[in-house]
Amino acid sequence: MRIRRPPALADKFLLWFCKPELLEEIQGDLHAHFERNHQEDGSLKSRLKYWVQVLQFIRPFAIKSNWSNSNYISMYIHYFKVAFRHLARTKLYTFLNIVGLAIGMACSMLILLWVENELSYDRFNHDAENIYRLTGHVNDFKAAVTPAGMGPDLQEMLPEIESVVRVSKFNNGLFETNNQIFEEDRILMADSNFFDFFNFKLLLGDQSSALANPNTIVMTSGMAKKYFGNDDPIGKIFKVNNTYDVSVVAILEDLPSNSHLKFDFLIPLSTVAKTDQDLVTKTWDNFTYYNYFKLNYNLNSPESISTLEEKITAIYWDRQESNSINFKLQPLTDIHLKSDLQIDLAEKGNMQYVTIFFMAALFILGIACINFMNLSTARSIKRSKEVALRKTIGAQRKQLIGQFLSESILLTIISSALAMLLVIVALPHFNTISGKELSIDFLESSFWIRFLLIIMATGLISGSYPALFLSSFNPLKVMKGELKHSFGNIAFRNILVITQFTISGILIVGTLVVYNQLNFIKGMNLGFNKENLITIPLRRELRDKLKTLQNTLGQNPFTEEYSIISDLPYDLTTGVVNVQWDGKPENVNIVIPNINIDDNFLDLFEIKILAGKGFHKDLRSDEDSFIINETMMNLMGKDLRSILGEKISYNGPKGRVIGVVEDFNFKPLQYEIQPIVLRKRLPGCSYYGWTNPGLPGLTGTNTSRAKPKISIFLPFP
Amino acid sequence: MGKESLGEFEELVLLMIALLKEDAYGLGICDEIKKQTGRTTAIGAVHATLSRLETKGLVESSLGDPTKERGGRRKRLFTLTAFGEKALIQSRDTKVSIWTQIPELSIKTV
Repeated sequence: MRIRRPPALADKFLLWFCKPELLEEIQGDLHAHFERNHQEDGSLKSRLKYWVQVLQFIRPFAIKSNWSNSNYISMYIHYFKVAFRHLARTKLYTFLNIVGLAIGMACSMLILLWVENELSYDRFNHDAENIYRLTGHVNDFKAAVTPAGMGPDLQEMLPEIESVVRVSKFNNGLFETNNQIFEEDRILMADSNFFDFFNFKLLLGDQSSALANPNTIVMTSGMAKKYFGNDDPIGKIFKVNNTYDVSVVAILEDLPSNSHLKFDFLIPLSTVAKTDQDLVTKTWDNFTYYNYFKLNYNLNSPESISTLEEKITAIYWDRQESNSINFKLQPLTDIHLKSDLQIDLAEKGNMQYVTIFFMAALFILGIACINFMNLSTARSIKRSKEVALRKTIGAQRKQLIGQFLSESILLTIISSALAMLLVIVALPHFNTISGKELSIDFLESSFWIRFLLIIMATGLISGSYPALFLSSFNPLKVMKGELKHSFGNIAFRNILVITQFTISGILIVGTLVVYNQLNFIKGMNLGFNKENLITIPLRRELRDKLKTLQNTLGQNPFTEEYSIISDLPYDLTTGVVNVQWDGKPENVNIVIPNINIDDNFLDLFEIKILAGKGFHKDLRSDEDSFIINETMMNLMGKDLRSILGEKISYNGPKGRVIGVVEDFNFKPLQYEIQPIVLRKRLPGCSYYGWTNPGLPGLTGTNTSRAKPKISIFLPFP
Repeated sequence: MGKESLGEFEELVLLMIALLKEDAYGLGICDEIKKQTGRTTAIGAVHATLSRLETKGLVESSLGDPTKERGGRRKRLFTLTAFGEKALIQSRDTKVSIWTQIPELSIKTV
């Protein structure tokens, strides 16, 4: 049998530091203990334990006694003493140096925390690398949604797809329990294998059965607290939208901030399996679901993914006899940062910003280091005598470099402690600005490792030049008082200063540009008047009582001028490809959005009519007519004189164009204004807005007077 | 030296030495502490305490016989000195005397 030996290196180490007269008993105990551990814990663990135990003997009683007054120790003590005396003598300089570096480090740390959070999106899911989302592309219109039937059907057809989970957004729901009603809008519905894809932690309930049965619900612990306080939430019943009951079966830990899926409630799709038309018909037409695939582990090359994409597209074309849509597979980890899809669940990040901020973090740290170097070298004259004396009594340059480097590392350690404090203080405010929930996990070893790395890097970089420079003094010249700055030294420091100022300049100018840009956007003419305009989403109950609402609004002097519309001209993402007009060229294949408006909309939003007229209140025939914008008119190849009376069909029967309005923005400003069609339709409207020009500055606080009385069924947030 | 009071861990180690009689050495004391109190202690900590107790004159030590499991190394065996015994007894008496003065607490816990 082989004799198991404790780690030889640990033994050597012990031999090195331990008093020889204690060695025998200590080593005896350790070996006996190792022997026992080895049988219980196995080799690796027992060896580790042995190391730990050896390290635990580094105590004064066991350490060789001649060490404590050895030259080495006293030399280092002397170094620290000298360093502290220097720092204490020039308090202002020390203060500037430490605080400057600390602020720089704190800024970089905050930014790096943000960057890290951005890059970590969805990576907490164990299989993140193999999860893809199916997306549909029609020319420039790229959507994150795909039909509900496609996922499961494709899985049966293609062996590359291991499993599928469908997720769908449940639009605003009224949740009633214990006589409390709340309106919730962060609700998702998903297949029962949701948790195989997305590894959210369950606090209560069982993962495998959490979504297994219809009429159940999974909620986050924050929400459970909101509804049930400290009661056990499991088994509690919600009435959803006054239609069906769901019972709570599991509680999730509040979601990590770096998940692209954000929800408070999760309802199994089986709950609506019989009522949701998309699910009943297993549709391949209606693009409303989010299909996530877990692909075979062998599919890891970009080529195999694009082959699969082509296969899926071919299957779709074959089945639907249409070739307008291309399907792509989007890696889960790309969803947050590298996605430009419409109708997406995720709030989008931007890879460019991440890179820019990362660079900014490095630059700021760089500036702080340069600042540190300059402050240290500028004071070098004061220390030249010290250097000269040290050299005279035999110090080598190497030792002097070591001395100055350890001094700068000491300073860095002090400033990093201060920086850490600053970060902790600033983090809540930083979170408000950035809209994130960043935190520092002090228990995480990787955090400390990186923190140490930053300290070492900063200390070495910022200390390198002063150390090299200071240690290069010629003692003879110093003593004679002939020390002059060499040309090279001045040039180098000038370069440093110039770099520092350039970077600061770039950063400041960049900030100003962004600031102006924001001001520009704020003051930009949107093509409609958004001043004194208030909008409220129309909930289901209000929608059902539209007539009552209109009467109430009309009678109240505050809300006399109101308009009810289907969408706000703010971020209109949906649209229809099937828009026809006479003489439409074959190759025009674009998605044209539409807003359903009433007769007040154009007046209320102050959108200019260029030709024709707006909708009339009592004219029923207006419901088949269209108002279009200038861009749409140009697309149709007409001008203001010839456009009126032209016929358009918008995914339905033909109707006349009765008016043309000036272009207004209905998408974020970075998008070009696109064609749009306005129709007079009321059902399905989701917003109403009102304005009162006589009361400038009508703000949210006094709107309650105008709140319609029929809102008693409605929990206003 | 006599005026120094016993630390909590020092007292524990002293008690273990008294308990183990002839076989009180570093690792053995460690094991006994684990057995009696459930506390896991670093061998280094026990050795450090033993060394301190010896300088205080509360224990004395001698080297034992070499054993095979220790790779032929000898143990250092510790025994209480008369002064160590006195310190233990004194510590116990002080505590007992204080305990008797707080009857409510002693009833509750017993």
